[in-house]
Formats: sequence, C-alpha cells, structure tokens
Amino acid sequence: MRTRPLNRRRMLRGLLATGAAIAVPLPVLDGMLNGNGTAFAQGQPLVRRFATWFFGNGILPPRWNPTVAGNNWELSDQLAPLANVKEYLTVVSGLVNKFPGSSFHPLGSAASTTGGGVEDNSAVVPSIDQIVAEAIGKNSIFKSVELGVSDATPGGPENTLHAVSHRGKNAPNFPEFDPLAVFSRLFGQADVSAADIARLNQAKQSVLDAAVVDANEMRGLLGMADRQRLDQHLDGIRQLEMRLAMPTQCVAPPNPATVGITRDTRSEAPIAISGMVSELLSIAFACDLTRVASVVFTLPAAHVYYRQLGADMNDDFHDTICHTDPGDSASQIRVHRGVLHTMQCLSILLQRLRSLPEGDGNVLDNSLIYVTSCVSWGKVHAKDEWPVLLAGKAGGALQGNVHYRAPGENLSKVLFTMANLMGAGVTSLGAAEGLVESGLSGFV
Amino acid sequence: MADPSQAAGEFGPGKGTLKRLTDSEFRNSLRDLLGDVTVGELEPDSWSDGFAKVGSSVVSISANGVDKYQLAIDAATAQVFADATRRAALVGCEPQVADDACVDAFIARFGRSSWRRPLTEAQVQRYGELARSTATLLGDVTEAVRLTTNALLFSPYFLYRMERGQADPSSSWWRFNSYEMAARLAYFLANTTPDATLLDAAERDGLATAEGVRGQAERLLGSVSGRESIGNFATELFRLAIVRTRAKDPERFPTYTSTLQSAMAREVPAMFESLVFDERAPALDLFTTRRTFVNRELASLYGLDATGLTDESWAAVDLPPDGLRAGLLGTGAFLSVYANQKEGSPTQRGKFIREFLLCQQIPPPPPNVSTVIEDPPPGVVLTKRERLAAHRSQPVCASCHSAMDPLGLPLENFDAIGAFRETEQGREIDTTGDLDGVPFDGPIGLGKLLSTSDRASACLVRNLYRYAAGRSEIATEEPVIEALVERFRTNGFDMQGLMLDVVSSDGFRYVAAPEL
Repeated sequence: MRTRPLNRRRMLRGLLATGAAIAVPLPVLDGMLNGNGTAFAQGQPLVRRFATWFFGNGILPPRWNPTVAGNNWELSDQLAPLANVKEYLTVVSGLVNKFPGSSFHPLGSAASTTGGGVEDNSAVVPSIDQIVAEAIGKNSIFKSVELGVSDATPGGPENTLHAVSHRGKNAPNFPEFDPLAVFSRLFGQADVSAADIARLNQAKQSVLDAAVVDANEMRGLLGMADRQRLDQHLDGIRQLEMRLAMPTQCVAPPNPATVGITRDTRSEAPIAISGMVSELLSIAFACDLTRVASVVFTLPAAHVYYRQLGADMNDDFHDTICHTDPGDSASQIRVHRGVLHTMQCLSILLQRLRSLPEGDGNVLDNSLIYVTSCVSWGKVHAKDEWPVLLAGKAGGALQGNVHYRAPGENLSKVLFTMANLMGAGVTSLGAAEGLVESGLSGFV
Repeated sequence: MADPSQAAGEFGPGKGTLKRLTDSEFRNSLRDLLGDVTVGELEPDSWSDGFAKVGSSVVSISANGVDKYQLAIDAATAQVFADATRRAALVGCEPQVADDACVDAFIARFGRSSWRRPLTEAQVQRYGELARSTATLLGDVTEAVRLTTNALLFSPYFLYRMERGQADPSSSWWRFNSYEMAARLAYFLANTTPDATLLDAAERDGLATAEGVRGQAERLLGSVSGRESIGNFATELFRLAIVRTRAKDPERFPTYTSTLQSAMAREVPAMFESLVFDERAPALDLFTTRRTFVNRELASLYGLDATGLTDESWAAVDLPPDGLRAGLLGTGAFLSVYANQKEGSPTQRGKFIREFLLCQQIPPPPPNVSTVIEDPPPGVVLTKRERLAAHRSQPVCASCHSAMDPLGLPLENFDAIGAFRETEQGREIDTTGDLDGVPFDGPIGLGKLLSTSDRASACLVRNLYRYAAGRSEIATEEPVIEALVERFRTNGFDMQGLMLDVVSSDGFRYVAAPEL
C-alpha cells in the first residue's frame, strides 16, 4: 500500500469519514491506527515531536545532578518540581562544553544547541531542532516554530544571545515572544470556513509564485553566499505555499488576548505567560501543526527579575544573583530559587503534553523535549556538569525514568544521539571542539 | 572588522552585497510608496559590526520572517485600498476590467518606484497577467490590483537591494550603476526608497560620476528627509531600539513609562540632527551640547520646567549651563540602557564609551574567573566605586576594567533611568576619572575630553563609513577611511561635509568585480 506522511488534509478526510465530533485536539484518529494503537494502520510509526526548551544562566550542579545513576535514581533538589513526570525524564549528567577559553553565554548557548562555536556574532552550524526539522518537519504545516516566554536580555548584538534555533551561520530563527502573535500564526485560520478559502488561497498562491519567479531571476546574478540567503527566503515562501494547500482542522486554544495574557514587558518570566506558551505549543503538537519547536524560557544571560517569587528576589538574576551572590555552587540560595521556578514552568508544559491522549499513550510519550542552558554553574561560567535533561519517550525510543551519567563526555554527543533518535541519520555533528562523530554509548 | 594596522597602501573596493531592507527601511519605504500606513511587526534586525544595516547584508531571513512580510504587506495595502481616494491616488485610475491599460501603467509605475528601477517588459507583462488572472478568479478587479500590489512588494526585488555594479571602462574596478547608486544614496541619506528625482537622475545615468552623486546627496541633505541620515545613523550606532525594551524596577522608578522610553529613544537623534542641520556645529559637540529635545516626562526627569509640555509634545530646550547634564552622556537613553533595573552600571557605561565612541574592543573576562564582588561587612555601606575597587586591585580584572570603570564611575550622579542624584546611599559621590591617563571630573569633564579626542573623531568616521557601505569594511578600504578622517578634522568636524565626502569617495562608488 502506498504510504504518505500524515498531513492536515489527510487528517481532515479521516475526521469527516468517521463522522466524529470535532473535539480537538484530536490529531490522530483511532480509525487511522493499527489494532494496538501504536502505529498507523499502514504501519507507519506514530508522529514524533522534538523541542528544545532553553533557559538562561545555568544551574547549581551539586543540587541539579541526582546522586544515584541508573534506574534507581531519585530526583535532585532542583529537579524536584518535575516529580509528577519523573517517569518521563532522562537526566544526562557530566557532559562538558569542550570549547576552550572563556565560555560566555553566547558561546554556551551555541555549544549546547548547535554543537558548534560562535563566529561573527552567529552560530556556525545548525541547531539540533533544525537538524531534526530537516528530518521530520518538512511535511508539516510549520516545519518548526520558535517560541519565547521572556525576552529579557543583556542587549548584546550576538544572535546566539537572542536565538537558540539556527538554520546555519547567520540564519537565526528568533523566538516569537508575543503569545498573541504565536496564536495568530498557528491558529489564526482555524476558524475560517473552508467554503471560499480555496479561491482566495489560489489568488494568494499567485502572489507567492510571482515572488518565486523573481527570486529565480535574481539567483543567477548572485554569488554563492547571497544565493544561499535568497534560497532561505525561498524556503520561507515554499512553507507559506504549503500551508495554503493544507487547511487546518484544529480547535484553537484560548486566545491570549481574550484571557489577558500579553508578552512579558517586565522581564519576570512569569508562570502565566509560560503556561500560555506551553498551551500553544502543546496544542500545536497535538494537532500536528508542527513536529519541531524551540522554546526560550529565558534567553542566554537573561537579565530577568523574579520579583514575583519574593521581595528578596527583586534583583538582576544574571548580574547580581548568579554572578555576585555569595556562596559556592551548592549554596547560592537565590539562584536555586530561580532554577526551581524555571523547572516549575517546565513541569507545566510536560504535564500538559502528557494530558493529551494519542494512540494508546499521550503526546509526551511521542515527544523528546531537550532541556538545557547557556552555562553550567553561572557564577563562573562553568563548562563541566552541563545541565542536560531529556523529557518524553520519543515514541518509545527512550525508556525514561533514568539518570545517565557521562562524566567528561562532549556535550555535542547528546545532540548527536538525539538527532539520530529522531531519525536524522547524522554521521557527525557540531564544529571545532564540539565536533563529534558518535553519540553516547549505552544510552537508549 | 578591518584592522587599521593592516591597512594596505593601495585602495581596493569591497564586494557587492545583497541587502534585505532593515525594519526601518521597510517601514519608511512603505510610507513613501503607499502613504501613511500602519505596518505590523517584522523579524527583528540582526546587528553585525554595530549596525542593522550591516546585519542586513549577511543574515538570512527565517520562515516566520517571510510570514511577517506577507502579513505586513497585506495589511498595509488593505488600508490604502479600503479608501477610494487613496486607492485612486495610488493606482491612478479605477479600472473596471483587468485588461485596462491603466493596470499595466500602474504596474510599470509602481514597480519602478518600489523596485527602484524600471521593470523589464516581460516583468510588466507577467505582473499584468497576474492582475488579469486574479481578477477573473475573484471576479473583483480592485482586489486583483491590490493583490498585484502585494506581489510587487512581496517580491525579493523590493525586499532586497541587489548591488553588484557593472564594468567601468575607465577603471579596473566595477562601479555601482546609477539605479544602484540612487538606492545607496537614498537609504544612506534618507533611510528610505529613492524619490522620483533620484530615479529620474538614475534614468539619465546621472549618478555615474562623483559630481553627479555629490549633487544629489547635497539635494537630499538639504531636504527634510535628509535629516534621517543622522537620525537613523544615531539610532543604529547607539542601539536606541534597546531603550524601548528595557524594563526597570517599578517600585523604584514609577515614572519610567513607555512614553518616557519613547521620548528617550527620540531625544538622541533629535539632539544630533539639530547639531548637524540646524546649528551646523562640529559633530563632536554631541558630547558637550546643552541643546536637546524633550517631552513633559523627559523634562521632569532632567529637572527642567515642564510647564506647557505634555507627554506627546516635543520641544527644544537648553539644559542649565552649570549643570552636570550635557550631550550624549547625559541622555536618558544612554544612562538607562547601560544600567540594570535598579542601578546604573559604571562598567557597562564605560564599555559603551570604549566600544561605540572610541572603537576599542573590550575582551570578555577570562575563563573561570569569579566575578564575585564580596559584600561589605554588616553595617558598612560601600559606594559602587569602593565595591568595584576589587576590579582594579586584581590584575586579571584590572587589565580590562581599568579601561571601563574609570569612565563609568564619574557618571554615578545619574541613576538607572538617568535622573540626577546628589548622593549614593547617603554618601557624596566621587566623580573623578581618567581617560587613558588624562584625569577629568564628572560627565562634563569626560564630554569635553571626548569632544577633542582624535580617537573619537576617527571612530565616528569609521562608523559612518561602515553604515554607509552597509557591510564591514575591508583592509584595502583603509586609505579611503584615513583620507576621510583627515578631511573631517581639517573641516572642523563638519558632519554634512563628511557625508558628502563619503558618498563621493571611491569606496562608496566602486565595487569589486564579482568572482566567477
């Protein structure tokens, strides 16, 4: 039997064929699955998703790392907010950012998301989410989406301070920090009736076609580097075209404007905004609008102020709390509280993904969420004991509920492992000191 | 960034570029092409070598960025076409059928303005066909013309400036053709699309000579839109877009509002424009001038009489001649950006002065250095100067901090939003500092030193040249930059003269032949 990747039109057909009420998210219909609910009737595996979930300013390694390795691990201090989803966690500890010299936040974020360094204000190689998007995102309505909770930043020019998703050098995917803009982009068309959409879309299509013809005229006149830049633009147009051809059928989550959630203008990364971003992402995953995402909870070196956690937290989290609070890597209590808040926000996302049924499991079963930061211990920009947490079971590829210890191993190795878990089939990943040609052994 | 020490003896031009319009270039161009329209959010600019205009020649757009163009363009043309008068003014007729000749005429005319050169016949025909097929599909000629307008604006011919040049029989280098030069002049000197006069000059090939270029540049600088040459240069150079994104502690600074932030971001370009265009004063007076512009909130912040002002008003004022506030270093924009939410940052302020005003790079702290500054013993209140003494007593820190802190600490009379304060934690503020061994006192002393600094004037020229080129300068352009620096000095730091010298220089007019 001919098999095709799942797309929206196909799902829509399935939906109408079964006459099911539109109680969405209902991304994968039982009628489209095999008897066990573990794969599509035609034998394709269930959809898998990948997301990078990034937070700035690092952790306190002795309080982040679980003490016992293996299956009998216990949650550490800083992972305690994730107790509800412990069985979905794979903690990978001991990894090292191998880039020599100073590892500041721009380089740290490049190392942990791309496995490469920084050159001319930019990452040099694609980030893990984009490697995965090339493998599993191309037939989605959105090849990947980039979201953010707080845009608090030190204000430097580096793209690696403002984005954790990169298609390559000088090709950042900046996160969208406005929940309403995310909502409009992902779900804005959900309520439009399909009746006369086709004609309108055909007209829009001709507008896009004209741009493609113009771009192809220009291509021949350009040098290699500029031609590649124009090709990236064309790639964006193609994704728009594809979307026109794939009407969505998804009951949208609450409109952020209606429920009074706006972007974070006070640099506080509050739980409510994070919750909204998590909701938007969860429904986008559940409806199969996209299979790849990145979420910036806080940017590298974020100058965030967690004053909502208590009057004594009303200081610059990067400058004052991480860098100048007294204490060693186990005793900076205000840093600890910031990390706990971060993990609480992560926990809400993971629980939401778990609450969305899919086949005989849930969306979190079929997802791999890669959680990391721009430094290990922020105070001294430490490069060892990097925070790496994998959540979700990646469609059964990960068993979860394990602490995997890999002391001294190159941080890029976990990127390599994840890339291949998600089907990217890479043989090398990263660049310079971050270049690896193998993953972590005995990992899955 | 080119290293001046590697300056080759002989000039050679830089490579051609493909520049995507920056956020402000796109907005201003739509305004000029369509009239006043509200333009939605775009992908943020990327900053390379200090400028969005440089980032626009190296960075690729994301899929989300392409979406945003489509949405912004569609929303902008919808505003114009919803109004019959504006629609008629733009299209030039009310076509009843799509094969009306006026549709093709509109495509040719609007295409030339938006693509900054004439369309080929084939292109006019292709877009005409788009209009006709869309009209048939939708049964709505007006909407078809609007979508055709969208298409012309969504085209990479509008969104990108392709500047390759052409062979020049009189030179071994290639030279930008007249249409490319019209766009280079317009986006450098007015930060917008070329006006009709420029396009007409290009049509006559009137921008092939240095004299022709200089003549048009003089015209632009004499027009209202020419003020944007300084306005947008200052906005990019001093990263003023950041001002509006900064948050401050709401309890400590209840007067810090979004309208105050907007006024701060607007003040610096206004101050610089006034110097250059109204007073024709030396550019380095930017560090000493007492003439500035305020709304009510900014006047209050500066302790000025705000009578008659509102949050929306905008007025020229003179700061008190004996006060500590003058020039760029006294602006709320500079003082509030280089500060955290509660306190000014002497280190960040000093770093800005080194990097943006003196073109000196400060390396990041060495690896595994603890950046901890120990808290004082209980009951002891230290000033920032005392706390930061550790920066200068430890050799590993002092190598860089001794270049930054002594420039920022003398500005401690200004708090995290730039308000004046007499004391720090109840103690008098020591405002002494030194710039490379030359002692000074306070912001006024520092401003005076900068206004006569050779390094500051050379840095300003380098920044302007890079901004005009829209790419990082290369080593073989150093002879041109050196000559510009020399003329700038002998001309009494005349900024308009410098801009004219830049556009008529070989560096601005010539381009390396493309590599095959």
